[in-house]
Amino acid sequence: MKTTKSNTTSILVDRAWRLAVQPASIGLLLLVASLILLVGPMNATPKTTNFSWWSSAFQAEGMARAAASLIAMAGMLGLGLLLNRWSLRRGVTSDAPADGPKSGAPTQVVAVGVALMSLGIVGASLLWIFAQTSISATHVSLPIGRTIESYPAASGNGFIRVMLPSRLKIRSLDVETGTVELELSKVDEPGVVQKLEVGQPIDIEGMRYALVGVEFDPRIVRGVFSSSEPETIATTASLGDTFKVGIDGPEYKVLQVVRDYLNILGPAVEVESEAAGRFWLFQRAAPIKNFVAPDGLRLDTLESAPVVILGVSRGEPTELFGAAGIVFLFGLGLFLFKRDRVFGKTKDGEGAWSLNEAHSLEESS
Amino acid sequence: MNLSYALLLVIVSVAYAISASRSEKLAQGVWTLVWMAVLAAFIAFQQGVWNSATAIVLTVGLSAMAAFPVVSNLAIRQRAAWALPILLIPLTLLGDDVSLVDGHFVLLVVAAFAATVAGLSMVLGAATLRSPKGLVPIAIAALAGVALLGFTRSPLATGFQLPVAGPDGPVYWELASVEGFAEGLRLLATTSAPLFGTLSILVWFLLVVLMILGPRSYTKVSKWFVLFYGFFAGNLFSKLMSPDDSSKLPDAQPYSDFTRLALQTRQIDPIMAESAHFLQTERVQTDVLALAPDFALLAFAALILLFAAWQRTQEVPEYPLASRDLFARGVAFLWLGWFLTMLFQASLMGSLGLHSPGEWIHLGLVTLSTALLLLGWRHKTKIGSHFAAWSPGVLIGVWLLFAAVAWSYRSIIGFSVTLG
Repeated sequence: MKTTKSNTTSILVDRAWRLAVQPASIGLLLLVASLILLVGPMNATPKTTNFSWWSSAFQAEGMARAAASLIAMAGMLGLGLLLNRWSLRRGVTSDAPADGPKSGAPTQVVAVGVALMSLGIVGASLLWIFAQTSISATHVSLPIGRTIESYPAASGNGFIRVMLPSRLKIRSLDVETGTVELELSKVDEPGVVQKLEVGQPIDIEGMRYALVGVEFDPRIVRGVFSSSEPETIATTASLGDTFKVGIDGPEYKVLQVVRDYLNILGPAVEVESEAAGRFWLFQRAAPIKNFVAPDGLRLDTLESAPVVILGVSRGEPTELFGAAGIVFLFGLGLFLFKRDRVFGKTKDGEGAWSLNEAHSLEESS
Repeated sequence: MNLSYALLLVIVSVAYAISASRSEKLAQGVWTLVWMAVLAAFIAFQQGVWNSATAIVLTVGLSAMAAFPVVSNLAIRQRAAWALPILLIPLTLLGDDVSLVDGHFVLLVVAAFAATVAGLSMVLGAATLRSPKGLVPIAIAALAGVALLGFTRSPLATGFQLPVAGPDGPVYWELASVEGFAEGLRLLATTSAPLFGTLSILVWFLLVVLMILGPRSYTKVSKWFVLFYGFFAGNLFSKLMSPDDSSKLPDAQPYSDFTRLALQTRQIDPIMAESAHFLQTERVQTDVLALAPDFALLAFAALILLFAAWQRTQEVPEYPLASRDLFARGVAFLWLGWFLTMLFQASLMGSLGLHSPGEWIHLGLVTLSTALLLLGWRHKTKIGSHFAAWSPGVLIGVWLLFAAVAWSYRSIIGFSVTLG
């Protein structure tokens, strides 16, 4: 009795295994995984048009885990499928085409390639899914001169403000060489200046900063100010900035920047100083007759201010992902290297595994 | 005869020369010519010559190139699969609003893009080796993509919207920085597309689809009718897009209301909305250049349909195994594209991207490609055969649709950037 029972079980297991180790069942697992990955974010589209939604972090831990486990399962079945095929191949005569290889030996190179590619793909996609930390990596847009203490990052369903270990300010930008100078400062401490280049992220106090790009946002404009007085220099200032045109001159604060005052008077900036109070500066002639701005202050022009895009993340290592990438690339090389069938046909023609029939078609046409 | 009309004519004749010509030499010659023209346009663009001439050459060239599955010879088709990604370099650089200083990164982006497009080209090749029915989802998805782009163009208006431009480029409604609202407001000005012209294009599409899917006897009768109707629709379409003397500036009221609302939600005096205005008011017309993605999608859909119709009438044989091989190769290249995108993210950011919706969807699409390939792998079984016949076309359609979604967010699949 015992033996029969175990026999039935083994037959059942055998059948289940055979049913599971099919291209279609692996495809089904991947189909569900891909639907999770596609529908998840599309389900969370914002109601109002928000262009930055597409390129800022999206978090859904449950869905990510579900997709990851499906991909892992598919990967395991894929390995089983390849092993099954491998054992099936023994004792089966290869009916390779006349222009193809005579024996089966070189064709297994392609099979190894497919196996390596699958390994790399499964490894890398799992690493990518699990690389999403509870506080996401973020792009922070920062106009030059503005100091920030925190930045918004996606967490769960919403956004939280993440405090930076130090206050952060972009001191200068060199577009030619692609470098910015970061100033990191703490209260009651002198700031530390750190150079940051494109493609060379730096780690400071557990945070990783990277220079991602420079944007010229047409909405963010700054005024170029100068003075008719002697011993003064031209300077630029954005909304909310304070500026001086002379070394000992008074400080002005920019209150408003208007590109076309009342749709007719052209660019104008409202500034304020302690001595002179609030007043408007116009690029063209002033609308008020005999108006002379204090200190001979002039608005030369309005220009788009560059905005630096900083990548801020928690500095997770990316080496393992790189290794998976190398495994994939090696597999791809083997896969493309030989233009052959992976396995020969079985006697009844079922289960023919071809990965390049196209070339024989090309030759026959 | 206006510009878009001429463009359509050139695209169709070039595609015809490549596809319908019995002489392979002629087809190859035209192909090389288009290839060189696009290359010249690209070099001109590199040298800073970016005008309507280079734009036209690129549009015509790329659309004709997009017609590559029309090429019946497999050798050319495979060559095309490699040529297409290189052609997309100028397009990649076009959207280069976020300036990346290091040339290395530009190359990485182009390589990632190229691998993905090569993969998709191979999947498209796989679709053309099967029944013409399998191509219909591509055309439907492309048309849906055009609709999506038009409907999401303006946050204010409903219906299919066309962007407008003046002599200084696109027209914006702008509220400059005010205190408490530093980023200000900047809205693209759009006008509604005429209903009749839009509908006639739609009807033409449906007719061709019916011709491909319907009974075979229907094919021969409707062939000429569909062609003439397409001619008529094309004419209407060109009228729709034609620049005329009257100003096409939209009504300012909705824009002004929206501005007031935006100010009120920030607790700023709505009187500030008075200073908001259209940046250009003189010589405003439909912005044909900004409609390039719409044009490209429409031309692509039309060419795919015409090819499918041609394949139906010619009773071209199917090559299921060759189709599957090309599909498998395509999937491998799509994964390569994903790896290159991640390599770009890792070397720029020092992390594996932002995990933005754009990146989720990229991984989802590549996984979907693998899934569809495997579901149709046993193409002799009952279910498998259905999958194998439809999946390459459906896959290209899904990619096109998501590319349109990404574009409506001013972005590209897989890259966490917002273009201007």
